[in-house]
Amino acid sequence: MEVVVCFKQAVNEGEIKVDKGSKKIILDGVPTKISEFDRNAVEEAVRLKEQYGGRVTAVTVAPPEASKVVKEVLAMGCDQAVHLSDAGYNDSDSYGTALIIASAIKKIGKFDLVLCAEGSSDIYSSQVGPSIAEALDLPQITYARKITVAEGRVRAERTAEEGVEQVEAPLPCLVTVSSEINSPRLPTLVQIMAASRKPVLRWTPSELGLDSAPIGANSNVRLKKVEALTVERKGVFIQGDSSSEVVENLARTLLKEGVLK
Amino acid sequence: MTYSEDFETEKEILKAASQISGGAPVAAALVGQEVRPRATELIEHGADQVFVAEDASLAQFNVETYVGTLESAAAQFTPAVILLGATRRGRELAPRLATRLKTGCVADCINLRVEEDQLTMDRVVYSGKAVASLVCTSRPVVCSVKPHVFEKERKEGRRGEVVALDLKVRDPRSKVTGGHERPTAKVNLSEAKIIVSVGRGMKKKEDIALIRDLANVLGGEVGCTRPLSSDLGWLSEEHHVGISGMSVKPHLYLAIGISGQLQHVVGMRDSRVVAAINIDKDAPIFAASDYCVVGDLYQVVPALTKSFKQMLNK
Repeated sequence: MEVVVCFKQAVNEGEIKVDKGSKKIILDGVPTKISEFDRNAVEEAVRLKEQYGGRVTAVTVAPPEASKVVKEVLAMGCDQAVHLSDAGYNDSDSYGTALIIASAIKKIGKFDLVLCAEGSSDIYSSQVGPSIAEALDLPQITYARKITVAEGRVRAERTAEEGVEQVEAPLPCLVTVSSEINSPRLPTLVQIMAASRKPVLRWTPSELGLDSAPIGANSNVRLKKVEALTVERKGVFIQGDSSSEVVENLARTLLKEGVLK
Repeated sequence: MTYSEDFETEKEILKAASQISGGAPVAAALVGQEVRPRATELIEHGADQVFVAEDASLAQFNVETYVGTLESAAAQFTPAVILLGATRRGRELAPRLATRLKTGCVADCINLRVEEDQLTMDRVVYSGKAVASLVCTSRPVVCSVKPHVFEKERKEGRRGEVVALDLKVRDPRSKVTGGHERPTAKVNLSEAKIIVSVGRGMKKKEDIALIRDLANVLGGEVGCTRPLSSDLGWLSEEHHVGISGMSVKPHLYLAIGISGQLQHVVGMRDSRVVAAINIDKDAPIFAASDYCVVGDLYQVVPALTKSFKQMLNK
């Protein structure tokens, strides 16, 4: 089975600082990591390969510094990676990113399954997966928590608003996975070292036929501004001489606040 | 043009549409089987035109057939903006529709406004640390709008046109082969005035009874963090508060045994008052709370329930 798994580098949002005065968020120097849910997607891709045989190609649109994250997914068990780091890809919106990845997947050749995370940990728009599916004219299954493949079809269990659904579709298909699907492995030292010997392919926008595509600086969706979201809370620690007094004080405080019926 | 497979959400986004249309006509899409009778209600909530797509093959939501249907509606109405409800289904439909129409898409909008002739869309980013304002230069602009952000508005007797969509529904490749609704009563956290929410401080599923007791005394609803609904399945998705779950705005939010990860806190940030109980004095939840109690929930919660019972004469 040929599996393509998409992943990206995300900012470690816990480390983002806020300038309280100007309400600006400070992204400079914030460490990056692989987007959390992408680890689940990569893990699932590798498990499918281990179960059904085949090859896993990991694809990312990320700056050159993301080579660290590329090594991580190779260490988890992907056979090769495609690292699209040309400056012409920078600041692409979801649609642009999907066009880039779809073009890369076409260049990789035959594939059976494309896996993505349900969304990225820092932006969580959940758009790139479905856009890739449309661009490649694939059926799509989202929020999958379990995947099996048999007789050229993929069967998945997914969570919709009102409960769990069993869905199936013919291959090739795109599936976005939720974090409930698996626990991602931590690569061993041997696997990490072997990762440096695995191929990493790179293609420019021209090589992907994207010279006049709405990607990078020509993306349709543009960011006008980002403002920190600050909610001021009182942060009052309820005191008391005994735990029962603390409980009483809390109850009385909430009553005074007028939030009880 | 608006669409949501959730009827209530569609009424909300019709309000959003009227706020940005600047007087231009607003259309709503109605898709399914035998759905035409609902058109009047959509007109009363702000639709000038309702495009009805009725077919047995559309009875169940399927992203492939619904994308084709909305594409047909868009071809007929030629909207400048298409608003979809940001339900799970809406969130997988919107980007696919946008890509079909070769245009950009913005997900989970919490605010829409027209600035300098441009539609500006706000959404939460970085797990709740910031709000990004975005514009789209291509047409139509496609975006999904978060449910429970806009208030639907009904004007009885409002007039509008109902148009039957002429369409050829392509056979979808994906099929739903089964499913089960979680056997819990319908819960609507978005309307709740009091929410008692629980996280991983809970040691086992049966202990949720403690939380339910407190919620019942207060006349509130039970909420939870993602691990309890999605990973452990102790509570259904409807109880899940957070960036990939519900956004709530109760008068009181009680966060019990919840560490306070950003992804959860962003879902409850609009609460009027937040109180938290956690055994760890350094838990991040306390920075996001008005009132903080450091203690073991297994002692504090029953005691609090008793206290409220007496106080509220229940």
